[in-house]
Amino acid sequence: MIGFDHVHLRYPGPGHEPALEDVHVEVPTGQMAFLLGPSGAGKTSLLKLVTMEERPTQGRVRVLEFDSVTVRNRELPSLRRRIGMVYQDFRLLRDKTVFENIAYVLRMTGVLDHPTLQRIVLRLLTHVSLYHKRNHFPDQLSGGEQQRTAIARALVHEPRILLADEPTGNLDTVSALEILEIFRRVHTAGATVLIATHDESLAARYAERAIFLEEGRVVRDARPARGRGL
Amino acid sequence: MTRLRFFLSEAWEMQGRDVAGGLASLTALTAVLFLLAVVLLAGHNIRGAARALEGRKGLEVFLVGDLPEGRVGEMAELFRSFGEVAEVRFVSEEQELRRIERELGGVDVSEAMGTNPLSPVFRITLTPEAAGRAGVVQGLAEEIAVYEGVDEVLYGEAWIGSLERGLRHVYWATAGAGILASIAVLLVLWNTIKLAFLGRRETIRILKIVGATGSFIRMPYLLLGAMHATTASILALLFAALLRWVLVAMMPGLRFLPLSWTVVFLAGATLLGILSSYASVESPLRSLERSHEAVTS
Repeated sequence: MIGFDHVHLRYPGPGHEPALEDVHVEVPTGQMAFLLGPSGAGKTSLLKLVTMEERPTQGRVRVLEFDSVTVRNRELPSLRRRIGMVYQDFRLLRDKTVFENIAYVLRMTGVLDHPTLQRIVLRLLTHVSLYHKRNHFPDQLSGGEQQRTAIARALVHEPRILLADEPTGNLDTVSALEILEIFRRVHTAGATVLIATHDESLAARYAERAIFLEEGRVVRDARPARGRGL
Repeated sequence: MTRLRFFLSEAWEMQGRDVAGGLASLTALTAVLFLLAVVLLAGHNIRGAARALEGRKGLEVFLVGDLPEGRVGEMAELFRSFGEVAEVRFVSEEQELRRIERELGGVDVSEAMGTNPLSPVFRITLTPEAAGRAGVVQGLAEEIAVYEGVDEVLYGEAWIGSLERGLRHVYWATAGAGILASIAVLLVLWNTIKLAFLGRRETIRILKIVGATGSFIRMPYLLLGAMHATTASILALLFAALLRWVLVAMMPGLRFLPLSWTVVFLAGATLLGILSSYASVESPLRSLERSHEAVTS
């Protein structure tokens, strides 16, 4: 469950408009929701509040059993390991292979024996159809393949929440649909999926819920029947 | 052990990304630590020579001429009871006269002067521990000088004063060199590790997002700093040993640093490496946690 209780966010420094104003939204466990809105609407800021990269200036954010008011910095790694995060620019480690990009995250949590690593990583790579590219470096992959690597990395801890910030922004239509299909499978498996995008057509196809943001405010909260438009 | 191996391989990989920078850091650290090792080597040998001189530290307690025999015995017992005293030897005025006459080649001094001008004397030597402590001989001389029957106490004020001043200078020079070298090691490594960290800033940002703890991110840098400092200190000690080997032909008896000093040198350098790496990583790591990326949507 993700909850935003009357959240305000203003970035420090002069001249910054409020990034979010009085956002009061709850995304229940197992929902596949889309954050929609133009650039600067506050979608990324909302996702950063979920990973607690940012803390609200006012109000509170609740993610699983973590609360932005009471969470301590040393608890953040534990929170972030239970959230999978996918970005528009993939954010892969450029000097590591596809396999290593995923294995590295596992090593971080103490999974160090090679047979276990191999079993988990190769299963994930099969899941995102990248088994055959496991020894490639990110720069040797297409945008869609890089994004699938990033998704495999995000899924490595079997997260209960998957966040995606413009995951299809750099992809062609076919790749974008492949990515959304993976998200749908993750959602079907029980995870809460929250995707920020400006592509309403994708949202119309996959969203259980569409939250529209404008200038940091929620302006519409729709629950469309899948495939029937927003 | 497997986890340590993982962190070591990460540190090694980081080193491999900037070989030139690593070599520059290693060279600077080796040079600084070599200079420190040379100062320590010089200090150790000077102290060794001083210790040999300290063995000669002692007192000559001249007595008034007409002391009863019983009093002389009492005084000898009293001086022997001092913890700093190793040996008390009494020399009567006759024994002293005979010694001088022997040294002068058999000249009859008492006949020439008509009387024996010498005083009976106690020759006191100190224990090695007391001889090694500054100010002990002076204190003892002052204490003995006030006893009844004591005429004068001599202990070679001039050379003992110079020796102790010299040793103090050696001590301060060694300490100063140690402090300067520590600062230099801290600065060189602080800079090297910070550059290595900033070079991987984007990677670290990604690691934080996927849930890396501070210690997971920090550990390879601490090990990298320790690796640099340990390697540099080993090289510095090897060069110092080489220098000693070259100089020993000109200065026989020149000794290398004792094992305990070598261990402290290595451990101290390694600890400094870890501390400076920690200091250099901590601040950017925190600023990374609080940095606000551009809001894209």
